[in-house]
Amino acid sequence: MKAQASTQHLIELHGVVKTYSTAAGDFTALKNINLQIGAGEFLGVVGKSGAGKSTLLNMITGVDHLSEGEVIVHANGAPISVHKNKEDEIALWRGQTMGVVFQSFQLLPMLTLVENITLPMDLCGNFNPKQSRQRALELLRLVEIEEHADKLPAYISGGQQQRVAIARALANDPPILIADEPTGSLDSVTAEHIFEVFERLVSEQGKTIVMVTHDESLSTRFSRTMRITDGELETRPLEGKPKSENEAGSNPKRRLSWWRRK
Amino acid sequence: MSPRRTKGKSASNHHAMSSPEAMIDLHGVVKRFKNAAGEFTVLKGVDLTINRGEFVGIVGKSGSGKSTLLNMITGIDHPSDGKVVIGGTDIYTGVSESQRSKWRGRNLGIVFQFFQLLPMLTLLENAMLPMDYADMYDFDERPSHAMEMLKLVGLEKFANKLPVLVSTGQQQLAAIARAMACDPPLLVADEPTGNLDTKSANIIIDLFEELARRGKTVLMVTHDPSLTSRTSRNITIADGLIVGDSRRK
Amino acid sequence: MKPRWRKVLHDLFDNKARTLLVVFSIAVGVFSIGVIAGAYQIISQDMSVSYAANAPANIELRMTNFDEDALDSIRNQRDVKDAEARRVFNMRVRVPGTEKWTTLDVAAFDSFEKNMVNLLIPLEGAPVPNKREVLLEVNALEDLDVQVGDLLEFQLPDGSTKTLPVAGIVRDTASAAGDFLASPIAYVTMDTLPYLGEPESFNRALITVSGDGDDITYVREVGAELKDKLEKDGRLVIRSRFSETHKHPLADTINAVLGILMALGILIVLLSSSLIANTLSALLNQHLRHIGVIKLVGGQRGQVLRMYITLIMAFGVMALFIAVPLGGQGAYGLALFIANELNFTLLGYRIVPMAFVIQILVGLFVPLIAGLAPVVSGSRITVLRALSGGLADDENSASPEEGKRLPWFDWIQVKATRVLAARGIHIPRPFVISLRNTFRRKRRLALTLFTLTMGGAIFIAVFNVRVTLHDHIGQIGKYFVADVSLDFDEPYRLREIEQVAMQVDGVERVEGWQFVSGELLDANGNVMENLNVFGPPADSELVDPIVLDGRWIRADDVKKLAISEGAREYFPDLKAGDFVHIKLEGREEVWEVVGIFQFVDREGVLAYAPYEYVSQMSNLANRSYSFRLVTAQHDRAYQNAKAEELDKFFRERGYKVRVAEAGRASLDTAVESLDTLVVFLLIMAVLTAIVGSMGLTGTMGMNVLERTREIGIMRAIGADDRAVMRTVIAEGIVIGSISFVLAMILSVPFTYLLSTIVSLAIFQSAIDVVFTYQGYLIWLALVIILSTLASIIPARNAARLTIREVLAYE
Repeated sequence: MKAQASTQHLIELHGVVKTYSTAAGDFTALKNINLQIGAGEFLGVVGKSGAGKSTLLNMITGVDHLSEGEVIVHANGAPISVHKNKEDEIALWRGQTMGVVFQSFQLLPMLTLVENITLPMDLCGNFNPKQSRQRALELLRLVEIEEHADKLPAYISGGQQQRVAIARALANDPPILIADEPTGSLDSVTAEHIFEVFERLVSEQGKTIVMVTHDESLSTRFSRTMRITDGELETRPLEGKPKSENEAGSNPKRRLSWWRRK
Repeated sequence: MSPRRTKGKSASNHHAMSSPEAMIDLHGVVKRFKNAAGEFTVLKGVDLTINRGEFVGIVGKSGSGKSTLLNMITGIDHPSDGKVVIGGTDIYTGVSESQRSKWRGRNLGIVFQFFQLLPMLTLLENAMLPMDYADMYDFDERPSHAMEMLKLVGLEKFANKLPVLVSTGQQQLAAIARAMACDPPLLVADEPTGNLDTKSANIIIDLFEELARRGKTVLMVTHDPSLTSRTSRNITIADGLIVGDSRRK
Repeated sequence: MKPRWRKVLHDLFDNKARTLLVVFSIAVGVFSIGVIAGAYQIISQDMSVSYAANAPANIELRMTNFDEDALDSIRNQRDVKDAEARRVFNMRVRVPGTEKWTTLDVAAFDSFEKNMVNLLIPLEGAPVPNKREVLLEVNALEDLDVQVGDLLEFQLPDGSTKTLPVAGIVRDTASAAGDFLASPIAYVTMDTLPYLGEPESFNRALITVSGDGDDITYVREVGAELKDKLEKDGRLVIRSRFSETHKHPLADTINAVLGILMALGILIVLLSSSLIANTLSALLNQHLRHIGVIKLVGGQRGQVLRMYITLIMAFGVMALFIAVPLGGQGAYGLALFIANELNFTLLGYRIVPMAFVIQILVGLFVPLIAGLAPVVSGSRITVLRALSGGLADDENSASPEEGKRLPWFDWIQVKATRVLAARGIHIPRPFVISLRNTFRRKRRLALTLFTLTMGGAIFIAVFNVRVTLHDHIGQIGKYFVADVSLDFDEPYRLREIEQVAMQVDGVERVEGWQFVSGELLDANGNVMENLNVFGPPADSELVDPIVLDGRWIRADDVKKLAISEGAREYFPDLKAGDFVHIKLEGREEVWEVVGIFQFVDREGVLAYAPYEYVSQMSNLANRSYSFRLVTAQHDRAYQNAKAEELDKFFRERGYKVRVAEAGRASLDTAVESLDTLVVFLLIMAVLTAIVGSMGLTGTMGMNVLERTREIGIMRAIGADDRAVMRTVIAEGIVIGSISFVLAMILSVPFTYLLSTIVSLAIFQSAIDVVFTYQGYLIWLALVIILSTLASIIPARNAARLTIREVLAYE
């Protein structure tokens, strides 16, 4: 159950391999991934679709099984080997340890924004109902959307929905945020706002964030950026920007579309 | 009309089979979406002319409006304002959705990124289906014609397999064969290589080049920069407007 | 409210059509079980209580005329509690000014005030008639359109008429119980008899016992002693009937019929549960993404499971709110209908606790059991599968980690299409889509087919049962082929009657029959059952017997008879060549059984002996009381007309006609009462068919919803509205057609089963099953209409979707 202690890293991937069998034969989505992520890092993983970005995240969150290797997360005290626990235990652990944000928001359409955020607290039982609502409203304030608290997701824009999704990911105050193309379906201005929220969470709240994206223009704005190609992490990490220069990233003029850079 | 039209004309002059006429003609196309959060404009007045035989790439980030533009051309969605003329037909004025489906069957082939094939039909049957809908060719000729299409994309060996049994790259090729089944002059592809590995993607692009060489007009939406070097013309969309129209060849 | 329960609440009302479908399918099952269980309880309690409340006679003796002295000696007999004497005879009655004659049993009482046995319940008007007034039993109103105070015209044997006013309406639950075919009854006082041309003496004694009236052996013993005594006193007992105080004579029949209805009710519950299973598994399928999100943010399996079980329970509770009150009403309605048909009263409307409990159990547990499999498997889904989009996949399509093998059934379908194509048979691809879509959701298809097939099989079987019953009645009719029977109050010479009758236009042939009533005895001389011996000419063509054993009667038979299979109830091993002890006209004799024929007895066992012997035995050679006539046409209207004409013709010439009756009259009455039963069966069949087609509608709706994206692809490659609708409707019709073929097969055992149960209940013997194309044709038409209708709404919804919506559909 428990892996060997390691102090300096929050998330460790050791020799992670993921193979799918398809009609056309076995397909290896991840080829021997070794990766350490430290607390307070804002790690960006860039790559084309099909490169294995999402599979990598699924290994960290434990929603998919791995074929070989081990994923260890040192959070909330004891280190946990994500793939050596029962699914139900991991579900509860994940609810308290990791917040996950998707490209497609994944809000429950029948619940109001506040209810969407209190849902993880309800399921994990860390807060009583009154505290839950209080906390949910605080989180909505954090993502600057508290005025819509009692609306249904369908009545707000995509960018606003993504803010709610982030607030929901923070519901149980997890140390880790996992984001899968969180800006992928947003227009450029909104995407920038969302990205700024993530930056603030790292700098102000000390969260550790792992984000995958195919938008290479963002690569300079992570504290560390890795490129994944055909299931392999490029050995040399891309040039990351030091954390202290984070505020520079908020200048939208620095965002260049790939075709303009060419 | 649009100043780009003349450029297109000269570009298509190398191709023996191409015609000088415009295949696609868009005039001031505007598309607004309304939802509970308010109204927003996805296409802000697009004028575009594409000639027969061109192999055009439409590039832009997600959310830029490129898929919406494609939907205007295929008749899948209808514009809030403006006019779309495909092969000389105004496809929106006084035409119902059902009639457009019928028109689409004969006049254009569509290839999607996902969900290309009907899973309950074999590749051959998938390729025959558009002929059944459009009532093209003699009923008994359809199998042999569909087989020719599968040969064109190199899938004749898999003709009687169900889609689940072939790779996604092969599924995409079969989808192209199906799109060409009724011999339409225009082929429209939305991120056709989006979830394919590099090798399969190359085969698809080779095929598109070949089709363009045979006089078909090919229109492809992509965000993959490596593909735009292969097209005869690239149109860049950002925030609902055409911001670039380059020709590389 | 906690957000997860808010979600459950929302899911309950989110898709109203689906909620209605689930709630309605649960409600149908709960309702039908409630109606039948409730009616069963009410009837089995009230039938015996209400029957016993009116002091039904334990012993009924039909005797030659007797007086008060004889009645006193009956009353003084040991073990006799109460005894009443009546004079019962039949008369023809009509409302003055109308043409139609109705035959009534007229029962004359000595004193209405001292009515102790077979109590009359006053319903309207006077409870007691004065001299020259008449009370009518409530059933008589079905044939006579009269009210209290109206006059009735009674026809005397000499043809003259007398008019009596109707003083009141009463209910007599005991006198006619057990006989569907008995004539309605009218009541007069003894001192009215001379006015009607009848002697003021009794011919029937009704007796209750002082001991245990529910002990049939004891009742028989008392009856036997009484008869011995009466016969020693020189009185002739023609017939005797024994019955228990608390047992309605039709209790067994009704219980059996309710048993069949109960079986059908359980079947409906079963069918509706498969519908629930289908809908819930589709609901879970649509909710997989939600489940994925819940699990992703920390939800555990148990939490998900509890949410969905609560949802199912909520569906059940909603269904109970609809079905329990309706079921209670329906139960009482059904009980009331049966009570009216059988002429007994209910103790009043009430909730049957037993039925209530059964309904709640069915309403909560059936959906739970039906929904458990999809809920459990839905709660097991991994976050990855739930969120990775492959939600519209078929059950059997592999998830990414499993190797992709083609299911054998898909392989067969593809192979079959290729084999056909190789022979030049090309199926258009749009139809290939419909065909293969049919088999994609195999479990859903199986459940849909199950409900639709069951509905169809029962529907068809009910039609077959109806024809079987009619055919059986027709078989009985073979013993009563005559078009008109003509009975006289005194014997006439055969030749004479024949000559007169032939003068009536349309009469083709006349036969004189003998009739002797007696009793069937066991070897010790104890009475087993009444025996009716008919004596037609041995060469009569008016009896067309189905001889099961031995032979039919011959002219030279002496002390030989052919007896109905009903005798086997008393002598199970009876066969041709055996001897039976019988008592005819007061004499005990031993006769040989020459044959056993198929017949459905009522009111005693039927036997035939040749006229040639019976007339000698009765000293009536070449004479008879009873004649059978054949007329030129054989329909009922013609028979009725001829019967009336003959009646008038003979009376005018001074013959003492007792009754002239159309041959089919009694048969038609029998058919009518059977049709009541068939209507019940048909209602249940229609209910099952409704459940079946609801299942199909649900399935088509779910199929279309899940294939929205594929419909988008079809549109994208050129399918117009009509093509999309054709594909969907064709699938519905394919499912309907498969279910029809299965229903055709399944209807055969169902027909046998239902026919056997029904005939055992009604006739106490199994009958020959007859099949009719009617049920098949009607069901074929219905199933095609139903499956088209069931697909039209989903198909229209499918056609209405724009491609953009479809491809954006997630």
